Amino acid sequence: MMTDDETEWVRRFQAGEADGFTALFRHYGPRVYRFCHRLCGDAQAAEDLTQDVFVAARQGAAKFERRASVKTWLFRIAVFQWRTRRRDNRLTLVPLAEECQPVVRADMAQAVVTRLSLENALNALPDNLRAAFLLVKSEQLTYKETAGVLQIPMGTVQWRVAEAVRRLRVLLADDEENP
Amino acid sequence: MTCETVQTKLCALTDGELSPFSARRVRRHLDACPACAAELAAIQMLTTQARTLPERLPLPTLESRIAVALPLAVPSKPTPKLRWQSALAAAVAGAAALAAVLFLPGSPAHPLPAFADVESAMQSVQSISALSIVERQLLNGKTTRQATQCWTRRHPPTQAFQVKETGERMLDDGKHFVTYSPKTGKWNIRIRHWNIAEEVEQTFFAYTHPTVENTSPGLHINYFEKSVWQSSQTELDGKSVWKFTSTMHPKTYYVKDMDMRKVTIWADAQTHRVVRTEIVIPEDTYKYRNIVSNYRYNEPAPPGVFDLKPPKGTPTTKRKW
Repeated sequence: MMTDDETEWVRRFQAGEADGFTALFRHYGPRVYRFCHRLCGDAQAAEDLTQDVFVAARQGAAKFERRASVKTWLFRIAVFQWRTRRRDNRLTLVPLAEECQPVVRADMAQAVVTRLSLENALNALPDNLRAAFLLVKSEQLTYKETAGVLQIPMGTVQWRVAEAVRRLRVLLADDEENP
Repeated sequence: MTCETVQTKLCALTDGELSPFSARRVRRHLDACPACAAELAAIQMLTTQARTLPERLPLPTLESRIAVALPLAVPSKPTPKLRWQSALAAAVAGAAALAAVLFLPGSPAHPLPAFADVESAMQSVQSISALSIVERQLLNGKTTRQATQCWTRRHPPTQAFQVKETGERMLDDGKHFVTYSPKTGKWNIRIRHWNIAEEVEQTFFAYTHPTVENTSPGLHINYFEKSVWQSSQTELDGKSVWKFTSTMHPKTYYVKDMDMRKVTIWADAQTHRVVRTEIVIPEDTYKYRNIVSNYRYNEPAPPGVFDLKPPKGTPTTKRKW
């Protein structure tokens, strides 16, 4: 499961040692950030979420029993923290003025003519499908690892990934037909 | 197996998640069913796209930001120490963590340059102009030198070259490689015979369209194995730059194995955009050096640069390239 190095990093991280965090972040931080960025679609939100992940990992470090890999441990925390943020954001009241004003982007015309990228199509997926797709297809976790991250059965992972692929193909095909 | 059943398993097949028995049954069906085979190809393409999504890298400051936040986190199972000892240990650990992430080599205050940042910066560029100089030392001891001004734009993906010494102009749209020589008054059209963009692995590139990937001088090293970059910070022309060096080995079938080359790329430390590229072949039977400099980004090309088309009726020579 875990390499000797990983075991040592986690031990030091759990003990609150500085170089434990440094080693863990150097090895997994960019990957966690990348995953968070693809979940959130935004660099600032990804930074905040990545911080949440490592702070939560420190808070729950003693509970990590090292049966799972460090990778699946951190990704599981990332998904949990992301869902928490999503839930909290949905409950946030938006000032009326912001709700009514249309968002006018300087690059709106460019956006219209630009092809829908896979990244944009991913943002259109429901959260549960997007997370499963990203874990399997982008981060290349196995179905078993993804099931551990998402805390769902492997069969559900398989269904969510296949459904995500189906919906993405529809979204991307629509864009090709209507450039 | 019916098509309906097979198509529910194609995703798992691409993910390597089918049992060997199931995979064999699915593949047997695919061998006889073009429709399902096409479905598989489409899913494989989407999978490839997912694996090659743009890299997203955190700012160098993220590590220190998190390190500062960490000492405030309370472990869920505090160790059985006296309170003041725990507080002191946490303070010492926090200070050490802060010092480590701020002051040690490779820390956020002194981050090692990351080539991925250069790739990211280059992907946002819409046009490039640069001067490419190629120097060769031939077998007979003579040396040649050719300076070419190059313009590249993303939309539509086009490149134009002007060989400065002879005045020749060339235009490349990925399908036709067109040259015009004012000296001879002749147009020469070469038709690209293949596009190997899908077959090679990009080491770095400014554009995603195959056209400019293949021919952009000094802006890509797309024929080579993806290499580990040695990075450092230095100065170039009085400006702070990141410097990346690597020795690359070509992997396409038509490039000789002996053509190992040393590649050095300098990127502006602030904008992360390439400012100079040098490619040297030290191992070949003749010396070769290509230096690309004077990079200018997102500036309009001179009028007519991309309008190089043979006039109607102009005698041309068509050659397969």
